[in-house]
Amino acid sequence: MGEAISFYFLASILTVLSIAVVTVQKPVVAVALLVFNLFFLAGVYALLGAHFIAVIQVIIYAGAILVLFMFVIMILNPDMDLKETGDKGKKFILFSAVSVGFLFFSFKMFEQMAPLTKEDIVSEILEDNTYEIGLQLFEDYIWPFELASLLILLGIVSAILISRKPSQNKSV
Amino acid sequence: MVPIEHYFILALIMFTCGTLGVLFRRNLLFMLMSIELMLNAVNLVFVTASSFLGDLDGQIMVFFVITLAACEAGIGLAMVIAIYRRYGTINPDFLKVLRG
Repeated sequence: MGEAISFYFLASILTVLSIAVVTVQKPVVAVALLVFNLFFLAGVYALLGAHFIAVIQVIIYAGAILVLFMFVIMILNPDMDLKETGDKGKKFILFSAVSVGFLFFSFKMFEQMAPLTKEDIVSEILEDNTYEIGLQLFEDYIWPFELASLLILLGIVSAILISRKPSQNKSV
Repeated sequence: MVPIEHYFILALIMFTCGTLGVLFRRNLLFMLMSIELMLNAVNLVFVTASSFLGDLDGQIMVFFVITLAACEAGIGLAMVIAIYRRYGTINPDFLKVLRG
């Protein structure tokens, strides 16, 4: 019962925040709302028993990625380009298509008569699984883990190469 | 207990918000933030399936998706800065070099 109350509380907040993130006018406000969105999503992860994922969600997303967004907004002029451009008719068609897709998938999910709860299908209760995640990550998933480190290295190098000031004598 | 469909509906709402943000906001920063929102919706589906099926693979996949999101945000924001420096705008409607 407590889990249901917590989930629906978090889900309603997440819905409102997700809509607000894409509709507010100023980028700074959107980043602040996105931080709260990710915090509440970490709460949902903790509710699902994924404590490790909840912690790295807070540390990496809220602590690193959105701080990066905040820095870029500080570097650029935050109030520029706020007016919306584009073709109204094309936007209406796109909006209709996305809404139809949303309604279709919602209908598909509610079509099933008996809703599945955790008691119906769970094979084992996952409690305090950080230890098992560590074991799997460094045994079965060691090569993807190393490739992820390579990906981060490539990300660093390309971010520096893309965003540096173009030098006078040679062009990149 | 909360049925699994409600978690998926929440993820679907978040993913739809992200899709609409990418399609409609004419600002590269908002588009990147919407992509983060979509990645988070996918992560929610992974964690839900992992928790309900009692299988840890979904949570490890979320670990890699978060790594990917960090790289994507870094490179995307570097491109935003480069585009702003070169064209003086981050409205994608004015970026017509490819005549898209």
